[in-house]
Amino acid sequence: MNWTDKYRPKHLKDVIGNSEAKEELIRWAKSWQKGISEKKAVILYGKPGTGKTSSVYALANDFNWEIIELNASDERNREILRKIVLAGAVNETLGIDGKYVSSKEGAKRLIVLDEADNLYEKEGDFGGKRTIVEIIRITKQPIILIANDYYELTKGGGTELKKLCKSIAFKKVDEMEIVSILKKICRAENIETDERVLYHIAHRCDGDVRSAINDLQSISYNKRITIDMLSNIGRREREKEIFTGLRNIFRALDLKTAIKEARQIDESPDNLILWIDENLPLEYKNADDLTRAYKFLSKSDVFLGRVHRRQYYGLWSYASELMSGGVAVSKRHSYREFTKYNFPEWLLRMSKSREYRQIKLQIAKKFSSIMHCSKRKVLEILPIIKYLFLKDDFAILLTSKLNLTQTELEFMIGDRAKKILEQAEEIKKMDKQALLFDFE
Amino acid sequence: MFQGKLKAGFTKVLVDAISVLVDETKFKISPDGIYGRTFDPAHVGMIDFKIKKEIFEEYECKEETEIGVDLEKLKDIIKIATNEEIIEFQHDKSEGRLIVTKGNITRKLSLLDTSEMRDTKAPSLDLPAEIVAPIAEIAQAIKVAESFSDHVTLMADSEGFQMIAEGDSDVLELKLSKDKLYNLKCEEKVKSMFPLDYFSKMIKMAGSKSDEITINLGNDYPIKLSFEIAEGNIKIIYLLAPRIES
Repeated sequence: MNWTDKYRPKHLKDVIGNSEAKEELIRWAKSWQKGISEKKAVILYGKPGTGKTSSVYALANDFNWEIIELNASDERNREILRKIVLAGAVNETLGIDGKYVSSKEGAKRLIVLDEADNLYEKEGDFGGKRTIVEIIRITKQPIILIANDYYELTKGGGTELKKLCKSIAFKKVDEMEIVSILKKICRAENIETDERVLYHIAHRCDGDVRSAINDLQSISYNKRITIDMLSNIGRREREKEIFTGLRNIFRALDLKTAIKEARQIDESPDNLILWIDENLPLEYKNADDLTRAYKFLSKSDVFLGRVHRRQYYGLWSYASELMSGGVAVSKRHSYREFTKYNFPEWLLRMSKSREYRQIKLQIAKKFSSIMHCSKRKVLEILPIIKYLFLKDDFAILLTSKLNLTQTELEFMIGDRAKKILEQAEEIKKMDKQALLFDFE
Repeated sequence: MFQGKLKAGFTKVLVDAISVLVDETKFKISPDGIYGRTFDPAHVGMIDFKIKKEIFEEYECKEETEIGVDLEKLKDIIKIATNEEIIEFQHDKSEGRLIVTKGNITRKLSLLDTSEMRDTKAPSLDLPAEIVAPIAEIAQAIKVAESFSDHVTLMADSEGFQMIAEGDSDVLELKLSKDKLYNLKCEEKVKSMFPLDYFSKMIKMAGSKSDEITINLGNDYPIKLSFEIAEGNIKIIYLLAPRIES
């Protein structure tokens, strides 16, 4: 069975990422509980694999709504829309579980139009969007449109949709959250795994949870994942392009070819330099060649730094030409044997340290609320706060006040966290009781 | 293993009755006959059908199986037969096909995967009124109403049965008093409104094969339409959900 189906979240709270979008979705669903909502339809849009469809099904489950949908296999055109969707929008429906509850008594049917941006208008059939608009105007049931491309959906006959619908964006899912879901699946499937692989998968999928889970499944056939299996994963098209691009740069015989190759790689110079830096020593075996190449690379990095400081992206072209052309003309030897390239180590580490950085940010957020200053200020004085936390009394007081979690506390004071947390809980309880008495 | 011979006329009735709501369906074949139940994609209408083995010329089925059929494909071959002609069915389980034979013509049609077709429970409905009515006039009235309305209101009380269709400015009424009905069981007044397109298709279907129809009605509640053909050997029940009251 496909893991993306097997582990499809049942409840909205189990859908990872996009907490704001989910909250907005819940608010909209709640507005239907008191009759017909002001905004009768919602557009969920965002990149593939960000949880749009999962959220819809989880929402329907949480609110106990039945879903009316068009199967992907259904031929979709105006007629079908009219026949099925319109019928569901203005009539009561018969429950599949042998119960009949009218919508007045709260039984809503959620009408879902998946891939709304491209499926209803093709081959000269231009009435699709207008029909959707018409249906939204008269519907008495909630409607959700799902689209990858918001612009595609709302252009032309779809401009009206912008006004009629509430639009909710789904963003790429954070790498850390993807790692956590991958870990969860590994645990459920009893798979022994090297965590580095999970980080790598999560990084590579670029916020697309579905493809991350598919990748995981594709290498989990014998219940063990090791780091060398990374090379077994069918590399995504994009990465393959980077590898060939790299090879072409390294092996280019003149400045022009190398620069042209670099331009064709779909990576910004500050990422591309990491790839070159990682793989340069694998390709150039001669020490003198390497020295010269790295000299150019360092000059290129200087330009990248200037871009960053001055926020002037015109300098990118210098950086790009130095790292590609400069590296290419540095070699005096020719290298013909096959080289296996690696993913930049630095990117791997950054994504791994992300958890750590995130905890730090959470702590800063909590402190900034009572200290009346920015998160950045808190981060500056975090070492001092840590020092203050060496005193039990202070640590307990603040833990109870700020509701610090165990991971956050462990970050601050290490092993003492558990003891402090327990005592903080005591204080919280006492505070609550005190409140009760105050009331009397 | 299922094998059977049935008059084309009866096959047509069954296929047409199901086609009112869906293009494909799951048939359950049991030692006693064939039955099934399915919703239309919008879940507004439902059909429950039963065809007893007694009506078959020959019928052989050892254990219950289910097959998913694309009704359009089945229609193709039945269409070329006259009502009295015998159609032969054979389920080829290993190939996943239904072999349909009419005279010397054999159509092997590939079956659909039934695992995706959910089993549906019939909603248990509490419908206080039961009306057994001649169908011809209802069908005529609907034909008129279709030109200007998209919904129809059905009412019944102890005096009789009434149907009203309203357009923007036009109204159509059909009144059948108690003495014009075959049977009327109704103590309190009931009234519900339904989508005309569904109702019309169901009534037209019933009207083309049967003279009378049993209507079970409630208040803002689904309706049940049932009729029988061939001395009760084919039974069709339609359920239809009402319009949402705003």
